[in-house]
Amino acid sequence: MLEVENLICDYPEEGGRTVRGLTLPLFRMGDGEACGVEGPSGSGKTTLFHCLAGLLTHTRGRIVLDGVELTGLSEPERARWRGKNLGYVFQEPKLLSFLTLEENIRLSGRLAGKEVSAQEIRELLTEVDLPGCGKRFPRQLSGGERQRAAFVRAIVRQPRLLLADEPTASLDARNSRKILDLLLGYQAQSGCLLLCASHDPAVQARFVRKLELRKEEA
Amino acid sequence: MMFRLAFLSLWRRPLRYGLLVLLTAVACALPVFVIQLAGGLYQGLNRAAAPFPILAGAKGSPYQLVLNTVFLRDRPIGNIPYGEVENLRQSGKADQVLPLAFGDSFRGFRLCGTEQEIFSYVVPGEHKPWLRTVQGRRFNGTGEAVLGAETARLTGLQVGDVFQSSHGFIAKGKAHPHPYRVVGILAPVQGPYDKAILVPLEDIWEAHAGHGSALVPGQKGEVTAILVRPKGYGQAMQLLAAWQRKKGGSSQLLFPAQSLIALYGMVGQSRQFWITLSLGLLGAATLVTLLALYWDGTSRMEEWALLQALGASHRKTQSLLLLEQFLLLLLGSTLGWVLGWGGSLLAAEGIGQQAAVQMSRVPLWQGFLAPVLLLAAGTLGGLVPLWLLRKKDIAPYL
Repeated sequence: MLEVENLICDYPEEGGRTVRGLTLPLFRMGDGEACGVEGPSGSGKTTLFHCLAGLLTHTRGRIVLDGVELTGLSEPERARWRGKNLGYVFQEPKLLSFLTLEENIRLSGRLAGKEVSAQEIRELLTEVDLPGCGKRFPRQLSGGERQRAAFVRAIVRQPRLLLADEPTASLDARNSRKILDLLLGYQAQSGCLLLCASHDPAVQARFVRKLELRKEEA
Repeated sequence: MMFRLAFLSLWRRPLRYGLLVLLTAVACALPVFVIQLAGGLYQGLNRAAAPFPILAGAKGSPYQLVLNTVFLRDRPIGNIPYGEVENLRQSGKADQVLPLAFGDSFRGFRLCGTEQEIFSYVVPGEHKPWLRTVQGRRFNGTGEAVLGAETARLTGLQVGDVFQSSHGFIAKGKAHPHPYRVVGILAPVQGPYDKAILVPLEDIWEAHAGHGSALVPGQKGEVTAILVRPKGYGQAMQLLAAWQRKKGGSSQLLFPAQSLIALYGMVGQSRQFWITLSLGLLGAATLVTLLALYWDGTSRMEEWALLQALGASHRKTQSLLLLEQFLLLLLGSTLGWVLGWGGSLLAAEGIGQQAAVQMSRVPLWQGFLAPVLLLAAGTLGGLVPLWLLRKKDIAPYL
């Protein structure tokens, strides 16, 4: 269960001005729900995700996941919380270039406190149409392949909350469909909470529940 | 996991970090080279002078006497009568008194006329004789020669071979009609006497019979220098005082170590200059390394942000960066030490061939200071960029 109440995130700007990055009065998600997040540029989609991930400290409000309030956690506790509960798929794959796919995935598992076997990694990569690619480096793959590997990196830790921030923005239609299928398929199978931000109407059309963010002044 | 991650980050990006390692290595190599070279030279000079606690020779420049007798360089000042050897022996203040006569050479290797007792001469503070034969035997009579280890190696002469000396110290001097048979080869002494040829004193007198008044049988000739091993410090000072009191004498008596102190001063000043310069370079290079590490840190913000998004704490990502810096500096400074020490070995080889002094090749503890300092300063200094990076907001990098 995810609960967000009266969430406000302000940014200080040059000249002492404050810019409001996000306003979200109330948002709740029950177990096993998937939700599309939409809104114009600057409405706070990425800011919301950073707040939900505990990477950004919000100005006001509460974020509670499964009874744990993020605001009350120290930085190391948040890091542990992220490792245990969060899966993140970014707009760009952001795989570590000096590690192979297998090493990238194993690192993600370890930071979540899970030891992932080579066999499991092989099976997961096969499921996303990357059979035998474990020993390859990210530079040896196409953009779509990298994004699918990044998806495996996110789900290998079996997250409670899966955040996908514009996961299809740099992909063609075929690869976009594939990534969405994988995200929704995993969410349905695992029962995790999935939030997917996108400008793309085709992506939003895949979600029954939607959260629309608006741009507001501080 | 941390070590493996740090190692892979460096190992799999050789172009990115190779230059940094090279920079660190060069910064470290220079002071190591200077320290090793100066220290090795210092030890080499010490080792060469150790067998000569007191020298007596003709009046003139003490440096020339030391250079000629201890380092087998330069020309002898002149000769003194053999009677001085007897005077010293009769003084009762010396354990051993050995005459040394120079003036001839073979292919540039100096002949040193002396007495058989030199083979039982023990350097103060040591237990074994200084000059020991490893092949053949000592000379027993006229016409026999014992070669220094380097002389034998470089001339190719072996026990049983015969050679003729020439007058003076140049390779193609006027030959004496006085053949020598090689009867022994000495063990290396890591000093100038590795390039000497020891012959009986009488042979030198005989070879030079035509240069002055002829010696009648049994008459003693002249010697170039006298090596004296005093019974103790007090006796050494008494001998020196006695020689200084002598008026109108033809000889001087000196402690070679005193003459070398002035030389050490010059070497020391030069070493000080180079060490100061090297430390300056080391400091500048450390600064550049730190700047490079900071630049590297900022250019990798996306990686740190990603690691944090995956659940790594601030402390963990900073530890990783610090570990990478430490490994980089460790690799660079180790490589630098090897380069510096290797360079000093090459220089020692060159100096050994050109000069009489055999430089020490043993790594000096002072030489380890540069890599340790660089490693410590670099790793501690690495905390500054870490502190600056800590304050950076990572969210924009995701």
